[in-house]
Amino acid sequence: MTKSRLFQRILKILGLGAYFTFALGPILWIAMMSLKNSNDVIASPPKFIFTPTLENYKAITVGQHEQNMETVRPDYPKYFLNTLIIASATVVISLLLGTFAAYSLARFSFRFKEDIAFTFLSFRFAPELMIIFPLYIVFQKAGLIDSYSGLTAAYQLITLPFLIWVLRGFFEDIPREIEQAGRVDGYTWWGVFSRISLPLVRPGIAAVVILSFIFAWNNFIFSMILGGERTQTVTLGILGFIGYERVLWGQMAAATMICVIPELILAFFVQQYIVRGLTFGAVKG
Amino acid sequence: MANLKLRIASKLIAAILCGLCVLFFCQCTKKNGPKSAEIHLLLNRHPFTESILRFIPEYERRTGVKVSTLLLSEEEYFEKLITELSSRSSFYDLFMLGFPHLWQYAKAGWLEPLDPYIENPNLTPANWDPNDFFPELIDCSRWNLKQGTGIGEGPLWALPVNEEAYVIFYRKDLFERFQVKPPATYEEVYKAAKTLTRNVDGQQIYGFGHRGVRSWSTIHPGYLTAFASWGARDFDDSMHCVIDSVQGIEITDLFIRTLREGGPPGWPSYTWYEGKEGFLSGRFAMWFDANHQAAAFENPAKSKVAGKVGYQLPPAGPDGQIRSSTWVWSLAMNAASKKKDEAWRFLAWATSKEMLQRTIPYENINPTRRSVWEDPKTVEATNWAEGEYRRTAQLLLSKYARIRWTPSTYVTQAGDRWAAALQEIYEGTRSAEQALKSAAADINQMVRK
Amino acid sequence: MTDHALRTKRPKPLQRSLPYLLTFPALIALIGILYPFILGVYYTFTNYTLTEPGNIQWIGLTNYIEIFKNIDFWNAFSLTFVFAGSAVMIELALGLGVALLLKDAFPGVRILRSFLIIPMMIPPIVSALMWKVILLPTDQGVLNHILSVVGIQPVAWLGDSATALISLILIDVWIYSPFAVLIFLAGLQSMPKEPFEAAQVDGASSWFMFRKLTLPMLKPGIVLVTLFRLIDSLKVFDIIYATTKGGPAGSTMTLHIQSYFEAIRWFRMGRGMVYLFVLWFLCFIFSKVLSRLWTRVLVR
Repeated sequence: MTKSRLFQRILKILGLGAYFTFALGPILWIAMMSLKNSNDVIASPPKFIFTPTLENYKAITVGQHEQNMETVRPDYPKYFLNTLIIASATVVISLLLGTFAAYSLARFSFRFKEDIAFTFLSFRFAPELMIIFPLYIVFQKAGLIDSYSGLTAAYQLITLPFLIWVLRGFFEDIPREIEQAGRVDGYTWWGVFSRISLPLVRPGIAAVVILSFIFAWNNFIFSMILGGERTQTVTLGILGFIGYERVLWGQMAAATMICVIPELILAFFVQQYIVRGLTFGAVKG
Repeated sequence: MANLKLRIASKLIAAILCGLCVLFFCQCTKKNGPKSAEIHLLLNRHPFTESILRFIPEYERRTGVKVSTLLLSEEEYFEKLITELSSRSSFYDLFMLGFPHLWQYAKAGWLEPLDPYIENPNLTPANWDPNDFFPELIDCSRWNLKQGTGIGEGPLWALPVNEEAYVIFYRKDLFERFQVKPPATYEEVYKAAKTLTRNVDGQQIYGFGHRGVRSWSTIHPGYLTAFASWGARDFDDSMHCVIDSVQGIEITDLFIRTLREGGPPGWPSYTWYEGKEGFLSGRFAMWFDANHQAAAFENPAKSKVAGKVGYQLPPAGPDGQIRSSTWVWSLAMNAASKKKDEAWRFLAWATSKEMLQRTIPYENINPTRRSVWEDPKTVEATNWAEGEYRRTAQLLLSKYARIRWTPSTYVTQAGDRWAAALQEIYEGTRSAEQALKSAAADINQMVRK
Repeated sequence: MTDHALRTKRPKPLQRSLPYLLTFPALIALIGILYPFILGVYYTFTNYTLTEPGNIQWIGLTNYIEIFKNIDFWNAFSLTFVFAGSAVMIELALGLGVALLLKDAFPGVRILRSFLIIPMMIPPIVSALMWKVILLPTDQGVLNHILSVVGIQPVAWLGDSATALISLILIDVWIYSPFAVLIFLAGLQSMPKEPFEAAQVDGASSWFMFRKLTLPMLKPGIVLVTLFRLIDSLKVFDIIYATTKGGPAGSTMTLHIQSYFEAIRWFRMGRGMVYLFVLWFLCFIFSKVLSRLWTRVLVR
């Protein structure tokens, strides 16, 4: 191996090492916090060596009433399930609505096409606070406050524009010859769509599914204002560890670790597609 | 192999999705169930609310009324509350308040006056004894809706469930070791803070701690106590902002200097819990905040300073007067509620002698009823520092602690802007005089509207 | 290249209206936002106060004039730009750099690529809270503790007006650079090999290949990352809400946080909406520019 290759390799290792220390270091710290008891968790100076305990995880899943200090018992499993339901429903509906819209924007040319496309994008950049109050009143009149369907509808604002724009790029990447071949073979637009185009963008769909799921899962303002007791989500639940007498950092960290699990599972399954799939600007055809 | 993995994964995901769909639709249909009596509470996380939660199943069994609650941390709680109330929603029947919010919401017409319910023998049990509440605290919850005046007059808007006043917690061991007297004036606080900011046995100690975030809740505890003791006011009788009076500038300058030269770095980021944890872990020599935090400090299982804490009444101002700020958490009723009688019954139950006594072991101190305060079990539970805690708490409640804000609907706005000024002074971007004058001008503009 | 082949069949009315039929369900789902938006714009011209919801009066441009005359608004305006611009530039550079490092296979690269995305999975508001603990001012904060090992004095991070904005940018970059890495990684991995092989045969240096081949082919990715990250960081809220709420001394007071104070804490909805409308307008301008760039870059 030449000196410059060795040098390059060392640089590469250093670079990757630096970035992943930066990216994963805090995660490691949060994991450590989740295993510390309440005295260690905010000790000064911070403790790297400590006796790990599972009491935080026990507290949030099973609940504890023993000590007077820890009066917080936030029903974490329920929040987890709520968020799972709402995020999944959001992604499913976005997929149903958005895939067709993306295909249409990519394939057909029609009047107002770019305007409609831009309109979709524009929904993405309304600041949350701007729409939350009138949206709240509309939801209240429609009886949608604190309901799964209401929150799913509101979350479309976050996931749908993103999904349409990304999938549009994928659909446009498909060489037209392939679809034309399908037409020549006698398929209608639906046939071409479902048998040819859709399978080809499977990687793109995988990518937007995981990203949309993450966006929906992580939302804070909508779930706080438009949700309620029945539909309290995990984000709000984690904030709930800020008690009155103290902040339960250990339990908050444990809740955070658990909260990441569904996203990790989903990412694990679609990981191979994500990287292979986000092919923008691929020179094809 | 990858194909098999994919197929299994797809089947698994499909199964999960089906399950979730079922749950989704079950939830949607559940709403149309039969309507039994049900009340809804919107509550913040507080020892009172969390302890009452434990007793709710008991209430439901006794009365057959279903009680649902939504608990949020304080910041988020008030944001949700204002959303609900300003849209005249009748969903939540009862909620928690402090007096700034009480004033704002009473003026907006969102609170139900409680006197008629108290006086109604059909709704209130005979032994409920409204006179058992400390009269000072009942006064705090009355207002005649006139900006600038009227505390203690007018309808009763809420019932007090928790009271706090402000003391300087100090480390008796450190004060003894470095021969510092517990401070009786604010100049002494400054000197003590500077003296005690030092490295002690390998740990860096800071002399003085106080909240610092950009919020009216930073003004409220120690700072407002100092401010009022110095003879300064927030608004004058004609609702003109006077925080930039000569006295106001003087005490603000002294207070911020104490924090800068005798306090921890990064003060503007200190929330109440960071400061409290700072004292708990032994890093502060003094902490000027709510007296009931003693419960945490004196718990040897959690606190490094248990048994070493002294309770100093707030220092006197130049005229020799002690003027502490105070805070009262109260439970109020939604004026738009459609189940007021049921809501009142719950409210009366939750604020009865028996229930308030039962919240004491869950640290709902200081109690708002005299009988509860003097009950032997409470005495035992609050007998910290050989009675010094109770002595100071009693004095504060009866003599020194009052609401130091002028009653108006602008407390939170003015307070936020005021806290921003304090941060500017601390960071050195403006002098005390400039910052307070600028804040007063902005606040006057807010009030004019 | 037209849809000539598609049009050889008899054009039914369905054919012409099909595009609209396909996009309309999605449009309808999102139209629900139009009403709140228009209402929001209407409020900017009123004195709507939350505690007096029945007493809304039209006051024309008064809110606008008052706010634009106030230096605080312009501070918020420039802070919003500084934050967004810095965050996006760092995320682009970091994203590209890390993607270049991860594009070739080596033992463990699959694991690294999976772990990459973890910072994004934690709700930003929770990440910000955790970072607040890591960035505690004295040696209680982990970061200060580690720095002290190499002899650096503790920094007040979020508690000092000089370093608060930088700390927030740090948090934003931590959470969202995986997004950039993913997009660039995909772009790099899908690049055709032929141009590079040809260039190498011609004796081009790797820097030349990077400049003339890699970067141009990554243009769509760069525009995409810039588009979404710019809009999101102009609008950033969760991170600032959980940490500094605009302090210390206004050094992190962006337009969105200022609107939070005006509308929700001080109940002055009319004025709050002005800040939000300005913010929306900024996002609108940038996305129009960037999406035009996007379509132009995509066309070949």
